[in-house]
Amino acid sequence: MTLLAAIRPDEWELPLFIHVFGALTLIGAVVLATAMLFTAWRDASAANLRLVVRALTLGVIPAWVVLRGSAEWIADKEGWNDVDDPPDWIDLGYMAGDVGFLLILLSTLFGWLALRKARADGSPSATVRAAAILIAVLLVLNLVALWAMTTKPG
Amino acid sequence: MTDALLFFHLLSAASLFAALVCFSAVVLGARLPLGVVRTLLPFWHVGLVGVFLFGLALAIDIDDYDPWDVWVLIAIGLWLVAGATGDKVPAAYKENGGQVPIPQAVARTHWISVVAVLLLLADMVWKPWV
Repeated sequence: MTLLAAIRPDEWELPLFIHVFGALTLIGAVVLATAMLFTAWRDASAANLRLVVRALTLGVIPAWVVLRGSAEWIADKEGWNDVDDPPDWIDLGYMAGDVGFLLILLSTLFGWLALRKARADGSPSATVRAAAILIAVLLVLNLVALWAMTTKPG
Repeated sequence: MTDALLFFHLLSAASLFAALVCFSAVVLGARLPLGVVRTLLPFWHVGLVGVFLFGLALAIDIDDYDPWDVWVLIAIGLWLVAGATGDKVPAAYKENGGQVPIPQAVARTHWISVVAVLLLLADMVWKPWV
């Protein structure tokens, strides 16, 4: 890895910068969304749930797009797209990205449904708990992906 | 050993970003619960200490780099700027009683820390004068 860092061509650096920036921003936005969802679990007010939906739609989803787009860009630059049997850390990264997006979509949907219910009758909804659990799983998945990207198993 | 250090270096950076995202949301006008902002403040401090210690350990551990390389010294300078400016939002938000907007001067200081962290990340990737 030290050798790889030393011989990394200049043209890889912009996609790498955007990729690391996207990954760190995604984890940051997921931490904020997780904190807001567990706050909304205790107090499912419309104000808290509106913040949950905003954290997911204005923070988590754009950061995921930056992460995933730049992952494709740097994989192309490094030639991983032409390899038939890529190493485990590449597979793990793609898996975390794609399963992660499903978790983001579901937790956004559940958060939005909880917000609608809170606005309609002011009562808490079970969907906020489902969204909190899904986003916590996403956080763990992102940390596993971070471990895989830095230690490069396989 | 190097891989583990790199993992903890990036984990610390993620902790820093978690706090930055939260504080930026407040500066942009999100009325987050005070408890959430207070909870994210230790993420900033732990992240700041972690990126420095693990970064320095990496510079010592990797044969091609030294702690006195120009890009490492630039990183330490940017780290000092980020450290001096990055944790002002929670205190201002608390003083404001959890209301937005926070004072302009605090918002400006916050954006300086954001720029410092982004330049720090760019310095880590491009490593000028290596």
